[in-house]
Formats: sequence, structure tokens, C-alpha cells
Amino acid sequence: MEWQAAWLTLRLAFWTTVWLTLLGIPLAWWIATRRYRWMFLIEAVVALPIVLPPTVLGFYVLMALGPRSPVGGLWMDATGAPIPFTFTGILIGSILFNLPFAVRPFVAGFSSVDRRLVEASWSLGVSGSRTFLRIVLPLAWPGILTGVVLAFAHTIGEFGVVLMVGGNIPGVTQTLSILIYDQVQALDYAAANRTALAMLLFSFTLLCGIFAGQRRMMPL
Amino acid sequence: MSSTLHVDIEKRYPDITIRARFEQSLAGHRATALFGPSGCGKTTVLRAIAGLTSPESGRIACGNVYWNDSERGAFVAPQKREVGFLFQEYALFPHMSVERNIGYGLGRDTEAQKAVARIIARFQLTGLNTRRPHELSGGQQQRVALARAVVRRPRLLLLDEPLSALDATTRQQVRQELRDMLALGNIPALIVTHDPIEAVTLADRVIVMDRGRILQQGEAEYVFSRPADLSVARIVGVETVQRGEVLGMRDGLAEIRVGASIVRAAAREAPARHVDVCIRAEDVMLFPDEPGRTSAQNALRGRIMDLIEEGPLCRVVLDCGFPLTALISKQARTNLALAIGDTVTALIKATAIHVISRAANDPEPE
Repeated sequence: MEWQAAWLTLRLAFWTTVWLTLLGIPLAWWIATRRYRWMFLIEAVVALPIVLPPTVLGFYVLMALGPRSPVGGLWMDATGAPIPFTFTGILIGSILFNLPFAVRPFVAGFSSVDRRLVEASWSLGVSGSRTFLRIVLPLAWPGILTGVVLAFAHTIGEFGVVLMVGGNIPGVTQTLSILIYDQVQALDYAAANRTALAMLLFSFTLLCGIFAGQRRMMPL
Repeated sequence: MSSTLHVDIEKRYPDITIRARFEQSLAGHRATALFGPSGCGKTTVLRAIAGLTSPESGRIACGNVYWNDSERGAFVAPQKREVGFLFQEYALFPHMSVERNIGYGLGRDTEAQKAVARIIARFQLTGLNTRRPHELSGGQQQRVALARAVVRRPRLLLLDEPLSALDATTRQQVRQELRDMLALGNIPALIVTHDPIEAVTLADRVIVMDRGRILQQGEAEYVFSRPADLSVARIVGVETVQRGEVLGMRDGLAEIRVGASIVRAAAREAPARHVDVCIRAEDVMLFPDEPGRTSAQNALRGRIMDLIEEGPLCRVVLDCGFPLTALISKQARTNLALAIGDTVTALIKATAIHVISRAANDPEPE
């Protein structure tokens, strides 16, 4: 039971991180380098999950992806299965909910790269995409890494959104944090304690890794 | 391939509109200084030429290729302009060694490696190949940045305040070095600077800018000794600018009343009645007594009002019936035992006095 939930949780965290890296890097680069008057709106939307109760976000995701919604209907026609209460459902909810935890460190990383280095690279005849790979990414690396690790760690501990969108189906949508909730509901405190302690140690180790790494990369 | 860069652009900002129109030869290693106070639009012109900012209207043409043309909507990307840009703080890539910085714009083939090795030797960077930029001195960083720009053999070098990142002592030493390096690279250069000494040392031609406009352009020596108007005189740092009244012409010299004195200035044609008289401090010689017979047409007795030491030099402010500034060496000051309140004679050749005609309603010089 616990190993099944742990494996599901890791899978969810892994795929959330992969998608957030793929979507978040272009989005963060766009936010960090463009100077539109309405950019604050985009930034506010990206940051919304930080302040929004997970149940609120979960509720809207459920409404937007349900079989009766346009998106959910199309998915149902194409795959024959609904999105809610599946792994795909909790993955979509998890990606949306973790957006700020990946994108904001990415933006900070990109913003720390001196604009003149990019211009110097252009003036030396190097294309925009190669400049991004050779100058921007290596210099924004600490921010990118922080975003990736935070998104992963935060997905591990996710509760509200997963419960709203995925329910509590062992092997399908039951992650570790939902399992703990389940174990406490069943008054199995010993099992809950085991799971909780494992998660505590995992999260703490991960954060220690991040901060130690940051200090090594950017000595004070 | 025509070898001239034509610039005729207008760039609008909320607080300033920058208009620039000039040509730069792309043959040989002639250098032009874009000179003026900070915020006058020099750097914007440089960035427009590099393609890093787009002017609202006008065109930039390199030979017969339009890099910018607002009418036809033409724009050539910075990568394709073949210019070398030296940024104010050099913009060296902090995560790359000296060698990789210099070779950045080249391929990885042996030909490129040879070119990098050659330029490292020529720019006296041997032994620093594997250092990172933060391990270099200011002067070395500048050489790396210049080597990086030159190694691709650009058609034009653009230098934005090349010496401003250095401290005063290093700046003096590097200024001469930079001049030699520019000649060594044998690439024409456009140099943005607000320092008149830099403009004269590094460039053959000067374009004087103020508040977004070009006020005067020409040979450096000429612009600095013959400013076209009061603003240019002020920007190029002519120390003495005084209002005068022309009394008449005699033997090809204009006799001009300035304050309580009369000076004689060489003038090809009779100036207007009201003029501004410009005298550079380094053109004024000081004598403790009457100098006797000399070729100088102006010998003005005056009291020393102030002595200001500036490094190895000393600025002497005299009252000769009008305030006159002289620049002498500190050694000369000691030899003459000059002190505030002493009376001395200031000698100025008639050819060293530059006269600008003015309309009767022009404002007073500052």
C-alpha cells in the first residue's frame, strides 16, 4: 500500500517537473525579457496558486476538465476515458498548481543574466537560440535548478488539488499525503506516523541539498 | 564594396529625441569620437549602428546595403552586421576562460584556434589563456574584450566609453595602449566618450553631440581649438569663454574689448560686432615680470585669484580685466613661486584666440 503510493507520488512529481521545465522555461524567459505594460497580469496569474486554496484551484480544474466541459468532452471522445479521477487528471492539476514554484525561480535566474552579455553574443555573430544555450542557460543555472527541485519537492507534498481532481483511488490517484489522511481517518496512527516521518525526512534532505548546492554555486 | 557607413537616424524617447547624421569611412583605421556629456544620445547612436536598438525613422547604410531603413522596413540583425562592439564594462562571459571568450564568435576548427592564439600573443595576453574574467585586472579585461571584438575582423569597431570602467591611474596608461591596439587591429572605430582627453588621444575626427543633436564634426584638433558655437566651446572644455566687442580690424587682427582689457585675435574676416572670445588654458603662458619683446600679440597683466592643483598640473585663475585661466605644470608653479595675489603677465598668441560671432540677443556665456 505504502510502496504503491510512494511510487505513484514519485511518478507524479517526475512528470510534473518534466512538463513544468518544458513549459516554464520559455514562459519564464518571456516574462523576464519582455517589457509589456500588461505583464503584471501574466505574473499575477502565474503566482495565483501560491495564495489560492488548493481546493479552489482543484474545483475549477475539475469543472474545466469534467466530461461535460468542452475540453473534457473532446478528451472523452478521443480516449474513451474521463480526465478526473485518473493519473492524467492529477498531473494536469499538479502542473497548474506548481507553476509558480518552477516559473518564479526560473524568472529570477533569467533576470540575473546581464542583458549586455546577450547583446555581446549577438554582436559576435551568434544566433539568438545559440546565445540562449551558451550564455543564458549556463548563467541562469542556479535559478533553473532551484525551480526544478522546488517543483519536484512541492508535488511530493501536494494534497488539496490531487484530492479534488483525483479523489482517493489506490494505485491511480492515491499519493502519499492522501494515504496519510486515509490512515488517520482509519485511526491507524502507527502507519500514518511511518508515512509522515518518511515524507518529513525526504523533504528535509531535499531542501538541505538545494541550500547547500546554492551556497556552493554562489559563495557568500 | 563601397567603404563608407552612412548614418541618418532619429530615435525618440519620452524626454529626448536623438537625431544623428554623419558618415564614417570604413577604410584604414581612422577613428571617430562621438563626444558629448552623458545622456546626450551618443550610446544610442552606437547601439543603433550595432542593431541593438531600432531608430524610429531614418536609415543606416553600410556601403550600398541598408542595415536600417524605416521607409522600406529593412532591418539587418546584429549578427549579420560585422561590427565589433566593446561594451562599457566589457561584457566578458564570466563562465568562460580568456581563450573561450576570445574564440566565442569563431568556430572550433584549427583555423579558429590559430586565430585566437595569434591575437592572444598580439594583445599581450599570453599566459592568461585559462583565466576567468574576474581573475584579470581592468586593463587586461579590456584587452580581452577588444581581442574578442577584433578577432572576427569586423568592418567597424564600436567602443562605448572604453576607459570608464578603469580607475584614474590605470586609465592614463591604458589610453595609450588602446590607441596602439586600435592601430594594430587596423580596423576603423567609432568611440563614444565624454572625456575630451580620450577624444583627442583616441580619435582623428570628433563628432560633438549635446541633447540629442550633433553640434559640430570635423578633425579633432580643429573642433577642439575652433568650436563652432558657445555650446561646443563649453562641451569641449574651453576654459575661458568671454563676451567681447569688436573695436576694429588692424593688420589682419581683430581688436576686441573683453571686460576691461583689449585682446588681439587672428581672424580671416571681420567678425560681427558682438563676439565670444575662447581661450584654451594650455595656450596661456605666464611670466612673473614684463616679458620683454615676444612674438605673442597679447601680454595681459593680471592678479592671481586662485591656484587649483590637478595632479601634475596647476590651474591658475587670473584677473586680467576679465577672468582668464592658464594651465601650467606644478613644477612651473614652484619655479615661479606663484601665490594668490601675485601679479603676473599672461602671454597669448593672436592665433590661439578663437572668436565666435554672435547675434546681439544671444544669452550670456556661462
